[in-house]
Amino acid sequence: MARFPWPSKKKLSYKEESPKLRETMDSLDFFATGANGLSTRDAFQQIHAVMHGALQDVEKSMQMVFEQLRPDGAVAERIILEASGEINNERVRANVLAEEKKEQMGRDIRSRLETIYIQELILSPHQDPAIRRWENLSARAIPKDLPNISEYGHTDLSRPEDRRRRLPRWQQQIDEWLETLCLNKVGEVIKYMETEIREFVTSWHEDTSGLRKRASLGGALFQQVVDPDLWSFESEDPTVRNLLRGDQAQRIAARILERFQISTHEVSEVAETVRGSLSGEAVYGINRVGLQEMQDLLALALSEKIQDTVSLEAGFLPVISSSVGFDDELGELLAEMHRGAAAMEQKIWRVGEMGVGHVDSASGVGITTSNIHDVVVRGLGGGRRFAAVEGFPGNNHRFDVQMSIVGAPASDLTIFREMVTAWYQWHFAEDRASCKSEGEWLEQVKSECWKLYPDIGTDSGVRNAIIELIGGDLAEMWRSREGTAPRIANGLPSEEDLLHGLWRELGIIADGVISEVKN
Amino acid sequence: MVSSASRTNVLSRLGGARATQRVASPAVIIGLGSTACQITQHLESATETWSANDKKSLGFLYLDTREATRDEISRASRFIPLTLPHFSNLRDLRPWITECVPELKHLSLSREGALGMLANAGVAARYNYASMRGRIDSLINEVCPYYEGKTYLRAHVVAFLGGGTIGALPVLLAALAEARGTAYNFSVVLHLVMPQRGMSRDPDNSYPLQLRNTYSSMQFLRGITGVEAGEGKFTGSDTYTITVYPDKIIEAKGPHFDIALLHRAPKDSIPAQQAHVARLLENLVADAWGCGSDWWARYHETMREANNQLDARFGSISSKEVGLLEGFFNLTALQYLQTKWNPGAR
Repeated sequence: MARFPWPSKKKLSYKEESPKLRETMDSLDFFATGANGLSTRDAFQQIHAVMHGALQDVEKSMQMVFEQLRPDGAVAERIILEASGEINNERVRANVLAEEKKEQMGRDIRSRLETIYIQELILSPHQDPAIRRWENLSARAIPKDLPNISEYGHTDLSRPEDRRRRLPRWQQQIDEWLETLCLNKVGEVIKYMETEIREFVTSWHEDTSGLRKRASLGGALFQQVVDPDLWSFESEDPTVRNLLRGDQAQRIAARILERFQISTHEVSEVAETVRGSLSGEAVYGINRVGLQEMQDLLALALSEKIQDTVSLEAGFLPVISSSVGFDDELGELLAEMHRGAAAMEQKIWRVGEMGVGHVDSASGVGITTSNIHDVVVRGLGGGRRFAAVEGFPGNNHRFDVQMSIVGAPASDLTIFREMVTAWYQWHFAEDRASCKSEGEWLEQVKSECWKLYPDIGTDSGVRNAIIELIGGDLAEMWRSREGTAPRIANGLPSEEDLLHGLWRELGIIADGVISEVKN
Repeated sequence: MVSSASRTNVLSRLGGARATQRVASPAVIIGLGSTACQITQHLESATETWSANDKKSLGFLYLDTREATRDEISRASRFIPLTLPHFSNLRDLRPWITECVPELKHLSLSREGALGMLANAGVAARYNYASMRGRIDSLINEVCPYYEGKTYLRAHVVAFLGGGTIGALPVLLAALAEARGTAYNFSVVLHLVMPQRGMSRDPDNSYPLQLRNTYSSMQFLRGITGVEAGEGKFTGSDTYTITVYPDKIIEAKGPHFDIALLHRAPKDSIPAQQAHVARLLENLVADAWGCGSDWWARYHETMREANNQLDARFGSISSKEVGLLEGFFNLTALQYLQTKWNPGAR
């Protein structure tokens, strides 16, 4: 048990303590496990030094008062009259400053302990918290009553010989008072610290036991990480699920964790992030944050560290590239990525080329295997173009699998044929289907065809251009005869003739694509 | 569960350390129609955590024939309802009306959304043209202050091809063409959301209507690229004119868009569609960061190098970019904790 030689018989002296105490950069660094082998006495002295430093200004001000009262020179009456008052003011100031520092240290201790609590949860959840080492620091820090201080008036100090006799005693009383105040506040800080440590330890045992249960067979966390279904990332964004699923994701995660080494500094960053995100909610103690929330916050903060550490700039490929059976897995993964991306059917339409192109592609950086090209071909199957493997800094390879087919016609769209068919069949549906003559049909269609176009302007607008383009599409369809559903003729001319007649009637096309088809 | 506030705290603290500029080119994002407005709202919410500078460079505008959309987006957002006064208050045969519909009374003003007609939105957009122009101009001035020397921006237009409100697209593009004629130079990126059978409320009736709207709109876009097609009688010009209320003729000069992206949700679900398109949009708006900067670099490289129709290399979607890694690493971190808390599980 730590024992501190509390100077009980010898008079306390602020001045004498000053040269012995050195404020360190971090007065609470003794909390850190095994920090340079600091003893309990060192820890006590570090806190003492902080409090001592807080009273330095007061001590200097008091010295000034005594300097002005020096017995050998002329002293103004006003100084003698106000000396006691000034000393009393400084004592009040000393109390305020010491109290402020005590509170500030209390806050620092709390936040430091919270950070340590989180760090320990990550690094050593099965050990007794090292912080227990400091739980009896106040064993001998017994508070003392503040000594009485003489009050000297004008008559007591007006003559130099009185001052010569009384000032040293007064100074010694003040010095003792200041140090007693300092040590009492240090004692209060230490008592607060010990209360916090007790709360820390109690919460620690409860939390680590709870976390062990969660992580053990059958626990919530255990099930969460073991169940492959949960690694499928069910979300409203299905592409996430499409790309990597279940066992495969778990295997890759395991490989990442094999490589993952978190430094002490990073752990403390994670702990600070989590603590800061709680916005004042306690990490330990009675009303502390729930285990589930703590676990989720830790996971969020750690996941960023894992990403940074592993440096997966372009996905999982570099991670799996060094493993056994890489070729097969890469091929399989690429195929899956391709399917996931292709499912999105991103297509691009470039101005001026009337082309539609896929942008479904997958890319990877950092692949080291030289036969990547062959693997990609096998994984994706033939029929799609993709870029070559490019050199990449660090002698790795970069590849981009690009199934881009920009330049393909609009008919490449999945629903192209459905669209044309729907547009086409409108002309022969509803009331228009029951027309008995071409004239009747024409009348019906003309009166309603404004429903089909963004505008029907004949002189301006784009209707004519649209119909010219549609004519081309229909010609293609009539050629192939795949997309047009058979229609009961009702004794009317052929569909081509009807549409041809309609467009001629509308003044759009006199000898357009229809005649071309017919020829 | 971790509270969303705590989660945001963690992420903002983590993000704060590596805060980077996301937006290099100021952008105006315009949602046209209910589906697009929801996607745009999704994007606007996602940008809330971006830096103040980035947010200052973004402006959002919502256009819809449904008044209710106003309540579905944030109150601070700019919304222009594409509505008309009752047709009895309008002169029925004015050119700005007859360009879209022979007579105004043909329009059923109650029809809207995917089941609406292109003409309905076309007429309403012509009626609200002045408001549209004014809002676009003021948005551009806000995100791209001329006095700061910024004169370049991107306009992202999001629209559902199968909806009725897509009928307003020619008018919107004309408004953008006019705005481009001012001191500003900007490129237009079209984000066109394709209809999907599984997402249609009535696959037998409304889906074919959506397909027709899609087809007409796509042909309109093909028509205004200025490429000669078919016989080339009516195609080959990227300029068109529209008449707007009150019978003012606007000459919309091309090029009307620099690139059109056709989006199709990977799953037949509206939340999936919103998340998916908004995420891609987010990437492209954040052109100074991550996937967006890569994409635009490739885009410019491709545009520079593409000498023929077949030469193009576009896009890059890695697992990182599709957002897989966040969830994956979170679980990996949990696995790490699990091995720490239960050493026997290693």
